[in-house]
Amino acid sequence: MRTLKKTSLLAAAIGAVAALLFSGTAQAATTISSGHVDVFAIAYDDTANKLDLNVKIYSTGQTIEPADALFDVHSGHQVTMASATACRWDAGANWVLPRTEQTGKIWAGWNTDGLNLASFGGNVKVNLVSYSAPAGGHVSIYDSTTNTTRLHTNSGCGASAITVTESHHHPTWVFTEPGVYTLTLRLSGTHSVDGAVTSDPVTYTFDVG
Amino acid sequence: MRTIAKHSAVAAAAAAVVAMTAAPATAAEADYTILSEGHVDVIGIAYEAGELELHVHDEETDAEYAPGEVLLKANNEAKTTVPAGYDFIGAPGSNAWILPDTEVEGLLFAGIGTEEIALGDLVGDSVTLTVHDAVGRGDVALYNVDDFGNPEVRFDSNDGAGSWEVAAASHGHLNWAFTKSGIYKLTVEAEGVDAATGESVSTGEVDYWFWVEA
Repeated sequence: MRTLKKTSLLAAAIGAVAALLFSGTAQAATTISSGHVDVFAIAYDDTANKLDLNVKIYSTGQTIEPADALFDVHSGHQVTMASATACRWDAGANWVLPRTEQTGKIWAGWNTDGLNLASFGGNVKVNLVSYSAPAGGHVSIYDSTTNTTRLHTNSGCGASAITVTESHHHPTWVFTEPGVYTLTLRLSGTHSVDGAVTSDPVTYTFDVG
Repeated sequence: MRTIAKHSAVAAAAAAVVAMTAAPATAAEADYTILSEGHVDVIGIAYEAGELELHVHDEETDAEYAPGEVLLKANNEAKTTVPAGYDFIGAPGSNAWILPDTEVEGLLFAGIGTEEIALGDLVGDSVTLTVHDAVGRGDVALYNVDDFGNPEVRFDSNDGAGSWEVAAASHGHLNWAFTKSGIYKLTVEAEGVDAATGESVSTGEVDYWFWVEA
């Protein structure tokens, strides 16, 4: 049942991406395959009292909705590892978004430019609501300098939410299998005046390999 | 002789810092500016009119300084302990002040910028950056870390001068580790070859001053 569900999700995701790509409307997806992009551009709308999660593309200066972005993690990101490390990468092929800018690869980070972190006690959380992945595939987001797991799709890694304390940051992202991944995420935080606030859940799509 | 020269330089710098700290009213007349947080291209390299030049570019204020005009400060918040696998800094668990290669609130985010070297001006579109020496109370290590946690050491004061290639028209960051508080002097040089004339060009050895807060 689990496998079937994954397969159908995958098919649905591919269908959705294809529809976006070929719909030819003004709402066509923006494909991101290289360069500086803040995958999580985090903002707070104090009128609506809601957090907001968008994608900032530096090369064009655009800020777009996650649903309108397709991250093309192409073969240029493939790295072969001699052995597996738990909650990081598998042995063999992995697809890696590097923590420092490298020509031809996606440089994927996050920023909190759209809010005052101090008003949220110094942090907001990016919570993993649900995900889909190819069979055996996982997503790991971590800081190699401090060996800290920031987010992992395997609940056993104990990192189902990123505690964002930085105004701007670039971790390493690893996808362990080729295929289409979706991450559905929701922001949460505690505003010093308005209390608990969240964003709507938003879904990101990564086409890996 | 070398040791004496080093110590007197450090003492002079320490005295200068004390004088600056003690007399804020005359800060406008101070010989140099303290940069202690935000994005600063510490090693800014320009090649213009046949001159290769080092400068410090503060991205926060868009101000540009000669290296000798600034004191680059590692705030106390940079104090941490040497992680396992980073023995080139010091014994794991011992004190270290680290300015990281990612932006951290309240710390100097110290980078390298070669945006002012136009493509085609230098052979290979590359400069060789050398840190000749670091003088201070403790050891200094400059390094990068890859995505898999492996450090790449660019300079280790225990091993003497360190050189590496930096692409023209590029931008990058280093981790800067110091093992003790106090004043440090780093001697830096950038070299290249003019693509048009084939002549070697150099910034000469330029001193940078760091202050690691206790």
